[in-house]
Amino acid sequence: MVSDKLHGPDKKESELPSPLDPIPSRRKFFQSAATVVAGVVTLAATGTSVSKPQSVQKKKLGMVIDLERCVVCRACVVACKQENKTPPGMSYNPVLEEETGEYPHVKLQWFPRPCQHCDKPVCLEVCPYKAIKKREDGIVFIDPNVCRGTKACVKACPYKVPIFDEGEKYHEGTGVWNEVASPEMGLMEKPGKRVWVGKARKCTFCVHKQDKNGDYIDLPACVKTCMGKAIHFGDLGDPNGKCLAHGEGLQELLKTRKHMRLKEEEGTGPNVYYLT
Amino acid sequence: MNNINFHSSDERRVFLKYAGLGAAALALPPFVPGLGQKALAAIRTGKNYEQAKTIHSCCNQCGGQTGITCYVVDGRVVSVRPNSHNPNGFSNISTDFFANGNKEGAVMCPKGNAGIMTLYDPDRIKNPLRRTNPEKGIGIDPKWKEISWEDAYTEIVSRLRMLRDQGEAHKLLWFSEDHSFTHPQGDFCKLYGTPNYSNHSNLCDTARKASFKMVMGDERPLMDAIASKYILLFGWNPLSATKWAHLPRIMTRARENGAKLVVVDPNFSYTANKADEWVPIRPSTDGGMALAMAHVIIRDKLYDADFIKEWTVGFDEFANEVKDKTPEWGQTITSVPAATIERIAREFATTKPSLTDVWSGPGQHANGVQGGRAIACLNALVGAYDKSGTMVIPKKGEGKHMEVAPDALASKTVKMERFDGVKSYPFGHKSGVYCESFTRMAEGTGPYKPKIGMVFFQNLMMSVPGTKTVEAALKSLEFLVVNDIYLSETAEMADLVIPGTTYFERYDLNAHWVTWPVIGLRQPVVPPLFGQPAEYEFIAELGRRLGLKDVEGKEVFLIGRVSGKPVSDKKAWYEEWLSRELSEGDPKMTLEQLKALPGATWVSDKGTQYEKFKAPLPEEKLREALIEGTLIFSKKKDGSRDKPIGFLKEGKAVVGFKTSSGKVEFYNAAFRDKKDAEGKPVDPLPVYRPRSWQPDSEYPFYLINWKEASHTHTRTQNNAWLVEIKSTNLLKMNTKIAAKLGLKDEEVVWVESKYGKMKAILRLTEGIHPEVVGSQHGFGHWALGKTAKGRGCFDGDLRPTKADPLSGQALHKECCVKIYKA
Repeated sequence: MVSDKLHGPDKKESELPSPLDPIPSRRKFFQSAATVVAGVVTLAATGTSVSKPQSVQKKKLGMVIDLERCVVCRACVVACKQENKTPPGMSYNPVLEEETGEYPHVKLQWFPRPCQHCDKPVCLEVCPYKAIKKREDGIVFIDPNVCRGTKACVKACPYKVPIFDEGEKYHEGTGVWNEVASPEMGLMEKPGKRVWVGKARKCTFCVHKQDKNGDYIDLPACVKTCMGKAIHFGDLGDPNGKCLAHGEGLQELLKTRKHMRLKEEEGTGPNVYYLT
Repeated sequence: MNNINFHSSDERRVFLKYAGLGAAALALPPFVPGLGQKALAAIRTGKNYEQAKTIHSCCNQCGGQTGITCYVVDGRVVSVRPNSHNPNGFSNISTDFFANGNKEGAVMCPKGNAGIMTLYDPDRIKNPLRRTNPEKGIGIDPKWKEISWEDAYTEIVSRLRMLRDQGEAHKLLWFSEDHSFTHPQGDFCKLYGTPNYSNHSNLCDTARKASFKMVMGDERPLMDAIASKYILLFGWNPLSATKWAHLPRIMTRARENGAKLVVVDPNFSYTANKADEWVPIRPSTDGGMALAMAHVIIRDKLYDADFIKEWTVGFDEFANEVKDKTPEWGQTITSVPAATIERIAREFATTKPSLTDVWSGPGQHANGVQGGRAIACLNALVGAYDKSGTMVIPKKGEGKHMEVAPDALASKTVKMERFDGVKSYPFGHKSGVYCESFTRMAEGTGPYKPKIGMVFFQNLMMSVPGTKTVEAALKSLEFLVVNDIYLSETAEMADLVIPGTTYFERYDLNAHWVTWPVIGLRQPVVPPLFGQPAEYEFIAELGRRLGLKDVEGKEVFLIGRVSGKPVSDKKAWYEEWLSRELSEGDPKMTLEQLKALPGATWVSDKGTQYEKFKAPLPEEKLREALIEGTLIFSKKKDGSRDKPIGFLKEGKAVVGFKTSSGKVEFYNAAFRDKKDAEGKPVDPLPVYRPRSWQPDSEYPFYLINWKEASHTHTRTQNNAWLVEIKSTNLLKMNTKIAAKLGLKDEEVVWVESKYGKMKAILRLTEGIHPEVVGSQHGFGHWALGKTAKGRGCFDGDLRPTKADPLSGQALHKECCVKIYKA
C-alpha cells in the first residue's frame, strides 16, 4: 500500500558519502574498460568478460501512464527540469503531440516520453565503455564516472531518450541561479562540479529519491506533480505491485484497460505502458 | 512589437510514430549489478535537498495560489513541490479532499514548477531606477539611472505630499493585482485620500461575475465537476488554463465516473481535446446557443419544474423570449448545426446532475454579460445550483480586513467621484474600469486630470486593449511609479521603477478557490534577494513618511495591529497586521499558529455544504437583521443596511439567493430602469444581441486569444523553463481557409485590423473555426527581459481600449482582421 509519507515534505536522511567518491569495484572496471579502448576493441565483447554473472532482477520499476488522465499540461516536463537541472532546451521527458483528423473531428495524439527503462536496453548494448547498467530494480542507469561521452547511446536509443550535456547553462556567469543546488544526486550542487558535462544523461526514475534500501522516500518529480494524476509508478514485476503514488494495482490497470507500449516491435521490452 | 521569433520549438510537429528501425535482434544484455545497493547509497549526498529546510507557502505564478512546499539549502530555494495539506492543489470539494487528499497527494502546474527560474532570474530589477530621458514612449530608451532607496522614497513622498497638500489627493490613480497585498494598498489610498484604487479583475472575468450575479446572486460559483455527470463548458479551458491546480484531476475523474464533457469553443483547446465532444462556435455567439438550448428544454418540458416553481422568478417571461429561438435560429447565429444544439440541449437537461459554465472566451466581447447570463439561465432551468455535481456557491474563509476611516483631509477627496466612471456601469465591479480610465486619461476627459500613477504588479501596456491609448494615458501623468520584478513594458513608461518581490519573498493570506473555508499562508521562503522591501513594506514606508493617520489620529502604517504600539520593523508590523486579520477572521488564530499548522494552511472541518439557499435563517441573525419587503439584510454598526443575508419565503426566513427577489432570476423587470455605460436600457431578459464589431469583406476573420498552462498573462515569458514548454504563440488558422488564401504553415503574415497590425507566424490546423484566427495571449514582449523580448506576437494594438458597457470588462476578444503575407 502506498505510504502517506510520500506526499509529506519532511524527509531526513543520514549523511552519506559523495557519489564522486571512488567505489573500488567500479574503479577496477573503469581501468579495464580503458585498456580495451586503447586496443580499439568494442566493449560489447569484452563487456561480457568483465561483467559479473547474471543476477536475478529484484524489481521491474516502470510506469503506467493513463493518457485519459493526462491533460498535456507539461507540469511533468518542468518538474523534471527542476529536479534534474537538465541543460537548456533538453528534457528527460518531453511530451510529444501531433494533430490528427479533420475539422471538426480533430484530435490530438500525444504522450509523455520518459526513459522506457527497457528490459533489453539498446543504449546499454551499444555503450563502448559499458557505462550503462541495468540495475537490480530495473532502472537503466548511466554512470557518469564511466561515461566518456561517445554519444553511442544518444544515437542508438530508438526512443531518443539519452541527451548529451554540452555544458550549456541557462544564465551566463556565476549568477545566483547557477549556484542553486541540483537535487539530482547532489551532483551539481557546487559550481564548477557539474559532473554531467560532456556525458550522456537521461531519466533515472529519480533514483536519488530512493533510500539505501532501494525504497522511494519521495516520488519521482514527474509522478508527484502530475496534474491529472496520470502517471502510475511502481514495480511492474510484482503481480501485486501497487502504484507508489496513488495505490492502484498496476497489473489490475493493465488487465482492465487498453494499453500500448512504444515500438514494441523493436524487442526492447519497454517498461512504460500507456493506457489509451 | 512586430518582433518574430523564428526559433519556434512548438512540439506539435514532432513525429508520433516511432518509425520502425531495421533492428537486428538484440542479444540479451547481461544484467550487470553495476551500481548495487552500496553504490546506490553513495549516490545520496549529505548535503542534498533532503537535508533542506522545508517551508510551506502558496504559489503566485498566477492568481491560483496553489499550495507549495519550498526546499531551502544554504539560504537558496532548490526545489518547489506540491503542498498536500492545501486542498487548492487537489480538489474543490471537501469530501473528496478529506477522503483522498493524503492518499493521492496534491499537484502543481508547470508554472509553479518553474518558480525558481523566476526567483533567480538575472533580469530582475535590483535597485530603484530613475528615468533620465524625459521623453516617454514605446521604443524610447528611458536611460535609467540607479538611485538609492532614500532618494526613491524622498522623491515619491515629496510628489505625493505636494499633491495631497494641494487638496488633490484624488488625482492619484492606483493599479494593483487583485490577490496580492491588496488590503494595505486599499487602505493607503483611503488614508491618503483617493477613491481611485483599482485592480486587475476588470481585465479578467467581471463579465462572468455580472452574468452569474444577475441570475443567482453570487459572482463566482464554482463547478462541482467531480460529482457531475454532464459538464458543458462555453469558452473555458480549465484543463490547460489551470488557474486552480485541482481542475485537471477533478475533471478527468468526472469522466472516469461516467460524466460527459462537452466544450463549446472556437478554438480546439486542450480542454476540447479531452472532451467527449468539441463544438466549434462562432465567437461571441455562445449566448445565442444557450437561448436555442433553452428553447428546446422548455419546448419539450425537460426542465426541473419543481425547482423553477419554488426557487425561480421570471420563467414565463424567459420562456416567451426563447419561443422563437429555435435550434435553426441558433444555427444561423452560432454556426453550430441545429441538430447538435437540439441534442446537447436534451443531453444537458436529461442527464443528472449536469452543469454548464462560462468564462472569458464569451465574456470578453461586448455582449458577454447577457450571453453569460443566458448560459447561467440554463443551470436554472435544470436546477443546477448549489447541489452536488452542479454550480456550487462557495463559502470562502477569509481574514477580516480591519477597515480604516480616513482623517478629515483625506475624507474630502476620498469622497470625490472615481476617475474611471465605474458607477455608470450598472454591473460594474469594485475593481474599477481600466479601459475607461485609460481612455479618459488619453483623451483628457473625465471629471478631473489625474497626476500621479502607482502601478503594482501590473503590466498595463500589454494587459489593457489598445496599447496606443495606454501609452498616451501613461504619458499624460506627471509622475508614474511602477513596482515590478522586471522592467516590463509598463515600467518602461515610468519615471521611477521600484524593484518588487516574488512570492518566495513575501507574505499574503490566500482564501482559496474551493467550496469551503480554507486559508493558505504565503510566507517569505528567502529574504528579498536584493534587500528590497516587500510591497507592503514599501507602502508602509510611504505611509509613515507621509504621516498618514486614520480618523482617530492613529498612524496605521506604524502602529502594530496586535500590540497597538509603534513597530519600527516593517516586516514585524505586517506580521501583526496579518495576525489581527486572522484572529478576527474565520480561522480565529494568530499568524504564528497558522504557520504551525500542517502545510501552513487552515482548513475548516465544516466542509462543503450544498443547498445552502434552503437553510432557515438562524434566529440570532434574524434578530439583528433589517427587513425590507421580503428581503433581509445584516446591519452596519450605525444601524444602516449592510449585506443581503436572506429573504422571506412564504413568511419563513430562509437564506435564499442574493438576488433582488431572493430567488434565481430568469427575468428582472427592474433592470429596465438601469442604463448601461452607453446610455442604453438594460435588457430585463438575457436577450441575444450580436456584438457591435462583426467581420466584413475587408476584415473577414474574428481574432481571438486564449490562455494555456505554460504561461500567465504577460508575466512569465522571461522564465527560461516555461519558454521551453511554450516558446512562442503561433497564430492558428484553419488549414482549408489558408489553402484558399494560398498561405502556408509557418509562413510569416500580417494580421491587420482597422486599429493596427502585427506580424505573426501561421500555424495551420484543423483545430480552429474556419472564420477565426487566434493565438495564446502573453507573448510579443518588447521589454520585460532578454528571454521574453521578441518572442511571438502581441495583439493588443489591434483593438480599441473598450469596456463592456454593463460590467466594465475589458474587451480582449472583440476584433476583426485580415491576413496577408508579410
